[in-house]
Amino acid sequence: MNDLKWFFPESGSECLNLFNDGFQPHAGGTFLIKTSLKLSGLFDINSVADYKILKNTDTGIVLGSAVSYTDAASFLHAASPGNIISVALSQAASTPLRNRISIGGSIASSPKWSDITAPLAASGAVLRFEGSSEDIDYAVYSADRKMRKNNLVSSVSVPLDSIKGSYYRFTFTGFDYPTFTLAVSKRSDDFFVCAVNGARDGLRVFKGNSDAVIAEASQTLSFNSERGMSEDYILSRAISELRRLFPKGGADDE
Amino acid sequence: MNNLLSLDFTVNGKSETFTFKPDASLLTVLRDNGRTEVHNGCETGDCGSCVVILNGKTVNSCMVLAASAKGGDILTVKALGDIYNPHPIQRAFAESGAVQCGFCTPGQVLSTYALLLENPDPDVEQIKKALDGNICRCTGYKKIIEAVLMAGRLMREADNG
Repeated sequence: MNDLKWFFPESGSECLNLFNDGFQPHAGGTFLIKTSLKLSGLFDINSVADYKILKNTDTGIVLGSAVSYTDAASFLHAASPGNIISVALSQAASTPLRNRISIGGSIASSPKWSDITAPLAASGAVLRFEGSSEDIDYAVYSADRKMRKNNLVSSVSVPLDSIKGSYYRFTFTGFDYPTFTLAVSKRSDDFFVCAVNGARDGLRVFKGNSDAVIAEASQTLSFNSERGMSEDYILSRAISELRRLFPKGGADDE
Repeated sequence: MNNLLSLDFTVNGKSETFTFKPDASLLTVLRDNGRTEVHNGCETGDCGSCVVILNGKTVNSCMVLAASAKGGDILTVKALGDIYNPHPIQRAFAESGAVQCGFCTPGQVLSTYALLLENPDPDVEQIKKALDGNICRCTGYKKIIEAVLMAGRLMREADNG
């Protein structure tokens, strides 16, 4: 990356122009460093006020794409203590990394180990792209590689009434990449939205009462073997953990 | 060696201009400019030896592209104190026996500093969470946690006159 160019835009429209010219956005940079991407240029989005936004609106909480995991977790926790997104973000990586990992970077790169994927999908989060006023369902975006490549995420909105629930990450140690993550959003006493990330086919979303979700997940989920664990072991572990999440799903005392 | 960047930073309260390759990490730039108190451990964001405080928050300097920190306010452990005039956190680490080989200590001390600025009286769980990015392969952490508790006491006593 010795010929790497840097840009420091101050508005969303400048960012969009740079993005359309083939340059990549940079917020925290942790994914870029880990993956050693071949890049011609980076534009740092931290000076764009709209991308640092954290606000509570009538329809939910809006998080700008340059907001760090630390700041997002803190803001979300204050709005709704124990919600699935703040719990997930505060368990990711480590304190100094959470101070750098950004919401937008995680959404755009969607690594298999991301702690944000399952809770955003379970809670029905919607994205805004720079230059558009249309809401895009996060789960749709996550599954569409072309959409991810061609759009610059400016913010994500999460409805406050759908972020209560439970979250689980399967790791060997606290500071580890999860093999899979589970998020259960309780929408009513007998209707849940459950997201599983890390399955063989990436992100999966199941909806219904707890029995229906567990039955469908048991029949249709599959995982690749990894780190000495068989596919069957990982699947049985995922289903067991999923069962454990339901009694707590949306409990008021969380 | 063309396409070098020259950008301004504030390091330990002093304005500095550093010249570096556009893909250089903050760790590399700091060490190349004499800040060898920032230790180079894993270079993958796992060990915390390279932790510095950037604009008030701890970061793994190995995981920060230096250009993205332009204009930033950076603190290394030398900003806190030295052997002749140690900061209460440095005193607490020494007096608690929280230092063995010392390689991880600058990162541990800076993570402690950031924690105590935000929360002057943390409990053990809060300490474990705040120092979860700092690995020590000598002490087993018990003494480090004791040091953070002691540092909190010393700083609160100092604040109370």
